[in-house]
Amino acid sequence: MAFIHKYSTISKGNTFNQGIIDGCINFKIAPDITHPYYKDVIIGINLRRMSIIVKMGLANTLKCLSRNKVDAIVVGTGLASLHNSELFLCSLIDPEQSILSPTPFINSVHNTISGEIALHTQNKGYNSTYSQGALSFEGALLDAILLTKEGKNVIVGGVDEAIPILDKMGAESKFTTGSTFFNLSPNKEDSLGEIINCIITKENKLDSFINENFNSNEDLLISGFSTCNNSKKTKNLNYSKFSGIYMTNSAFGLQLAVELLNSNIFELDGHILLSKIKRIFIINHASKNNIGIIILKK
Amino acid sequence: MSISITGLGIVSAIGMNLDENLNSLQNLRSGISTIELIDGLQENFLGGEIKLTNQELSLIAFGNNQQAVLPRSLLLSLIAAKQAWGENSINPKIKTAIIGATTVGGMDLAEKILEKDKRIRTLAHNPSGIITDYLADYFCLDEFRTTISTACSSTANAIILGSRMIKMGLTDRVLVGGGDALTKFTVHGFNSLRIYDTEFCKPFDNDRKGLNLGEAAAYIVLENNKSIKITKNKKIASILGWGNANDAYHQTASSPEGEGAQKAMQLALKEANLSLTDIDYINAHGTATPNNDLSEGRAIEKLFGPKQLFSSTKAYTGHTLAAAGSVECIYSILSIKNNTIFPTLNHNTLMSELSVKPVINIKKDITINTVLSNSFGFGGNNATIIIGR
Repeated sequence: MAFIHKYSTISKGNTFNQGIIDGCINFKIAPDITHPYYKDVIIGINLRRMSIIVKMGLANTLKCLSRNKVDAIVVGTGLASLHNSELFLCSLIDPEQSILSPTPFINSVHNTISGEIALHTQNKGYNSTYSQGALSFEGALLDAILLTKEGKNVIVGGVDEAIPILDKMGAESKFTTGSTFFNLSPNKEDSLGEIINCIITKENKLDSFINENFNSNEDLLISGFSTCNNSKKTKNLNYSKFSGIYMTNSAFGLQLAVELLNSNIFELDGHILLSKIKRIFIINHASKNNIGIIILKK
Repeated sequence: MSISITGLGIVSAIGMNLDENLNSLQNLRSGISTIELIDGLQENFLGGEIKLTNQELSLIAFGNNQQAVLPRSLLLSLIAAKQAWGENSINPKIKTAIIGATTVGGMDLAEKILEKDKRIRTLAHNPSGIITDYLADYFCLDEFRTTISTACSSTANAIILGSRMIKMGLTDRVLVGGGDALTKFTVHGFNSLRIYDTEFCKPFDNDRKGLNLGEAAAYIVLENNKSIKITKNKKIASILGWGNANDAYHQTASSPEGEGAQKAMQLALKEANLSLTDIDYINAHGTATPNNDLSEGRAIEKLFGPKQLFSSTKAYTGHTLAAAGSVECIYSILSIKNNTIFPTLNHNTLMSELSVKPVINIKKDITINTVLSNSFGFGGNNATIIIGR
């Protein structure tokens, strides 16, 4: 029911213009995050006070627009604009600042992203924002799937921002910045793939889920880590290796899956792929004990 | 498809459970006072503060004060969610989701750590999902979990998502709601926007200056018929309809004619298959900011006409941000159960721009079957739910 018609990623490499496979994975050297020239993409709007996270969400949204009217905008973000949260927090304890600027406060609010996308695309439809740690995108995607079942065309995406503080928090991996958005609709015509399920479950239920549902002769599994902890012990394509670590990077994984479904690639990053992939499982276990599973089919 | 409400839990400045809240509402007792429990506010602020320390909240939630280190929003949420969930248990035959909502998450901890240590590890406590994760694990809910953060309409949108998931057959039962504690971040944030009244807030008054914030948590249990057959829970009320629309007008303000508000209310009526005259009472968002009350007042006037009964309960609790939607869903249920409209407190002068008049005296000579409840927020977000018997 939820058919993907367009996608757009801002991440490592030139994914915004070339997609993930050509813009990122096929690079010989690990590329840095590459922002588009926002002035060329977001036209006619003063970008000076717009936070980077809103710019990413808005630029991706504009790239995902089609001739079909958008009925709903749904965004997932694990941490919203950390930069602005930090700015406002620090201004609270700065004795020099007797009058606080409201701008970082406004920009720190989670739904500033979906709100500004609505404002700048003049979209008066359904609008919502999800924030559930590393499963924030899955929440947004489930809402988007429901919306397509209700007959609506949806822009849905994930976006998160890294700031230097994150590296001091004792996380094992360095955090990065990234964003991926999709255009979903109930119409199959000219679509690039269909999302048939989006589940959140406990890690200890993953094995039985894979055993019951996954067919290694026709299904491909990609995940946020190099080995997916299931009984088949398959070494799988690891999207985090290319996206970097951020809370909504399963959206990047989903775009990679869409690109794979529509390509004729046999080998990617040392992985031999099936000649005919029927379904792709995107497994996100970045959240402790909880797993996100997105299933995409051609 | 019937979406039944079978559990209610609420903590706010006017009571630590449902009965206490009802009692305060009936006796016109506001919970707004000078904020005392937040260290280091730059000046005195009025707010709907729950006069219990985190140690005392921990004692209520856990029976000991060992968990006072948890974020205050989480402690409030757990107390309210336990009341709502009651004797329910997990059951393999009932698919159960949990949908939370918050704007501040663990920001109070971030503020405390920040004061001690400027090198900051603060933002580790910011993620909004921590409360839902905690509650899900506490109640052993291991299926779908998420948290909505759409500012002041968060819990309204959470109730909407839960209702839609039940309607579309994605789940049988949902524990849904949210909580926000008072924090320096939000008090100073709204003050920096110059919409924080230094006096008691006056919703829908001509001389209103702005809001007073408040803290609260409220959770409800939604069930479909299949779930109720198994749980044997008693239906308290029903979710009849919902609407979500965006104003696309301004980052923080509502459009002067309340276009998004009108659309959200119309969508909710359509979903509920009700006409305008079926709405006995509107529990308005009514924050007492000059902008909200004009925009919402005009939307009510335009859609329902000058005779529509409505009030704002914000002067009882303060504006409880993410929690406002579920708090006021519960107050709407109390209006239905008691055939009572809880009035808009602190009201002196009618707004010159409006022909609609808020209810300012408690109204009991009335039958209330159906209530419409509005929650509007930053980002142009407008959410409406309709509650019936």
